[in-house]
Amino acid sequence: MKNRSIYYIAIITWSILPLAWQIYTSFSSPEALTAPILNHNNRWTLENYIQIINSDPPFWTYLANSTLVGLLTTFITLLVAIPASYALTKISFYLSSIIRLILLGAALFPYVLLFLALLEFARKLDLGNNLLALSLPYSALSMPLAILLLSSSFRDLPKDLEEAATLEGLTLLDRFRFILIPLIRPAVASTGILVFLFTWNEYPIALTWISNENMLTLPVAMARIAGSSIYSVPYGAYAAATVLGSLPLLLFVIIFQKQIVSGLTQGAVKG
Amino acid sequence: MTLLIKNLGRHINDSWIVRHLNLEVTDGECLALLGPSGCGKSSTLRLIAGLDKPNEGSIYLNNKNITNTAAIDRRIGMVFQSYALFPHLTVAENLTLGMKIRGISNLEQRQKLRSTLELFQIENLATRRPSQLSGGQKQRIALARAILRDPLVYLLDEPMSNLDAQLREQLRPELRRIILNQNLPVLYVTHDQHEAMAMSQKIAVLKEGILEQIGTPQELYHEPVSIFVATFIGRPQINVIYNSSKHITGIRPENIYFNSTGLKAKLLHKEWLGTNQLLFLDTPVGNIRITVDIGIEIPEDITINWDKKHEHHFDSQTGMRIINV
Repeated sequence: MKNRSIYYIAIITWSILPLAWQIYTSFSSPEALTAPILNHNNRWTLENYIQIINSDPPFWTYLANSTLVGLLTTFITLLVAIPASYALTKISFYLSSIIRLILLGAALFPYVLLFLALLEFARKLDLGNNLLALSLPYSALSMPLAILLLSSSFRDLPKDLEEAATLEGLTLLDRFRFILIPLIRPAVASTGILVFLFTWNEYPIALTWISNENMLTLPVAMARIAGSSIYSVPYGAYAAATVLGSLPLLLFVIIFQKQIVSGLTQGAVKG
Repeated sequence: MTLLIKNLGRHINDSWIVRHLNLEVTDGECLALLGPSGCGKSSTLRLIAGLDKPNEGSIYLNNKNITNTAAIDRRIGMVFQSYALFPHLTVAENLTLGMKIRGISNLEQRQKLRSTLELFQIENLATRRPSQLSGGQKQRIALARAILRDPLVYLLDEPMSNLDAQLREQLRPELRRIILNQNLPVLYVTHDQHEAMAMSQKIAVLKEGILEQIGTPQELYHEPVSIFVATFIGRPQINVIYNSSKHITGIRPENIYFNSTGLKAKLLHKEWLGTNQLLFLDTPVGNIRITVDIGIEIPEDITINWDKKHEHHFDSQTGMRIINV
């Protein structure tokens, strides 16, 4: 028992420490950061947060932008990926294997290589400086992994369940609503979070598609936080932005905690 | 209401799963589809339910051709081998979902739910989830759901195969009381000849997708059309004696008796069956099983015999019955 608790403490420290370090940094004055051992009168400060929140436009704008793009992307991705992954389980095994392979290739493809081409699209179709349009490439890039994840959970569903529902008189739409989606809800939740996380962190496309100050997403906005001179790196402000930028994710995970955990262990135990 | 199947067939790639199948099940009749696994009995059920499409033949329900009717419109009361209860819904939700979808009023849903739960004496389970139920309870819920479908025909796919023997015996009268008394055609798939004989008026024996024989349990028992049916129906299994390259004789263990003249035999071992005992004998024509009363004295030198009229004769090439030997 004692041995075990050592492992637990190690694992928790491993995961918590970077976060704690960020929080510590965000509340520290620049002097305290450069010389942490010395005694400072003004060791703790809210200056970093005040700077972030009072910037123009205020930091909340970026949070709202990222949240909007994230939610829209997640919605579009799931809207397409759920029926697509269902269809993958209904076509012939041979065909679905080929499609899966292609999807896997697409999912593993380093998307940074695509951003120039995507930028061309944005220019041609006049999608630049449009937050909602940003969710199009995001959904497209998230789609392969989302379909792969969801189709494996559709495949794990016993065929009998859907057939029983059919014989009960449920149409395809009814079956999705009452049987299929409730049954794969853990997978939907964890896929949704992965997609949301991807858009939350995405940098190159957001950087190239959006130039309007008011429409920046969080990562781009954070990169633009400037110090007093080019030689000073505003660690405190970065840390404050990181902490504020993580809050919505934390909220998200807490809300869907149950689904995520059961999604992770799905298939491990037969019900 | 009659279920009529004409020349039904389905194949996957080049192999036929079911072929040339003709069946008729009338109101209140229970027909058992019996055969070893992979003989096409469950596939037949799926074709009737509309879950698979037949490649040839047609299905009629009340003189109406339903071959191309979608599964959701067929009004089939099906019980799956796995029960297929929706795991995320409570028992009550499992039972009312279909009614809700089919537009039955809330009041009627509640009434039907209550009366069906009462019928199976499972009122106390309404709020449970399938994972909190025992096998026998799940089976009752699955049957209840089939009844609430208000079906035109019942299709039961190995409804008891996941239950232990004791529970099966217990549920059989219940199944008869509730399902078989509804005056609807019932198709009962099983691989257990004992269950088929107990539950149904008629048995259809399938072999490799082809109907081998259809008849009452008595007919199948006394006049099997082939060596396959003869060995499949009746336990302990019929004795098979290979007389020549062309001819097989079958003789049931209970028709063999000790006699002063006949076949000399040596006792190999014996099994206690409760009401009687099963002896395994070594004879010049091969191993022979015979059943005798418990009280009977097993002689030192065993000689066995049987009456000619109890012999079944089969062609060893085709396996088919030979009428006049």
